[in-house]
Amino acid sequence: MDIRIFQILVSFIGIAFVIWTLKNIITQKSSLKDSWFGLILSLLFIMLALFPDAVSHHIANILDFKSNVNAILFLLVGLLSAAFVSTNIRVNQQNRHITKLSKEIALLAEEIKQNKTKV
Amino acid sequence: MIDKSDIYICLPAYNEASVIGSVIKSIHENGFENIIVIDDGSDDNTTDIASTFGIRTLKLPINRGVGAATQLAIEYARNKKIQYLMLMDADGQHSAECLHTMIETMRRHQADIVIGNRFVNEENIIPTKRRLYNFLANIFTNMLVDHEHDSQSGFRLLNRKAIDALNLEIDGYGVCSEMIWKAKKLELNIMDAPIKVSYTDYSLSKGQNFGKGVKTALSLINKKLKL
Repeated sequence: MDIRIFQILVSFIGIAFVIWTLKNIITQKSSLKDSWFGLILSLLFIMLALFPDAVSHHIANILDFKSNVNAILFLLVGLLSAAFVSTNIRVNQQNRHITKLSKEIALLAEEIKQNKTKV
Repeated sequence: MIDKSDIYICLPAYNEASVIGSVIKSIHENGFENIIVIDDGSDDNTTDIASTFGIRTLKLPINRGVGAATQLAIEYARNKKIQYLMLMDADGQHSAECLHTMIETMRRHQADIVIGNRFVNEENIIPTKRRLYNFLANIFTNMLVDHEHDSQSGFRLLNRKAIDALNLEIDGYGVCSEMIWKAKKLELNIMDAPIKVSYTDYSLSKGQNFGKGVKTALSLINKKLKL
């Protein structure tokens, strides 16, 4: 079996990313909740790089696609869209928290100022 | 009868150091003493200049947008049990003389919210670009809620009922449409009053543009879908 350069390169980068992510989870720099998507995507890339035909045909069969290339593209577009939507929701939630905090700080600062003036 | 001392004029301001002084002066000249400047995390000395007039200032620690500043103004008014809250742009485009028209409209029609309408007064010279943005924003707002007037005007007067009832969430310019849509939902009485505006190069550099318009539309859709 011929091993091509991209197979070595992609799987090497993928494995390095998985190790780095797991290390971050163990050392509590990030959580599994934040990292699961990256881990799944990396494992998918590693599998695709090592066994391109077997994995892509299997995915095409599961999704009932005639072409394995279309199946992979569809899967990746789907995964990235899901990631985009979930990131967008989280960013919106964080924005709401930041605004709420900013308003509370402003109101508190004004209250302190008023109390100082009274004293 | 609405007493002037019951009205608090709130100026959401972001980097308005060059004009905030003259805006405050013109409000004082029209007999209104209660002014609050909501500094939306300005990098310049907007708050310092406003403070020299002896008025109240509230400063958001970081820039969050005109919507966040408006939310803060309403929350402050709610906490302090303010009877009437006037929201007015701090860039000098709104004429302080129109404060009387706004109050009179609220009194005459027993309105809960009065929105300054820039398009009734034919003396107003409104640049085509600004007219276009407002036209599109009005169409968009009307798709969400039936309101055929100047939906994007920042000149607004709220009574105690509106101050207590409104819970706004949009940080940016979308707050103008959000306020109308939520007020209609709460069955608040909204009226509009003709106002005078004067656009300068400075004020034109501040308001809506195409990019902000798209962002506003998206934030409204987002909020409507409750994402």
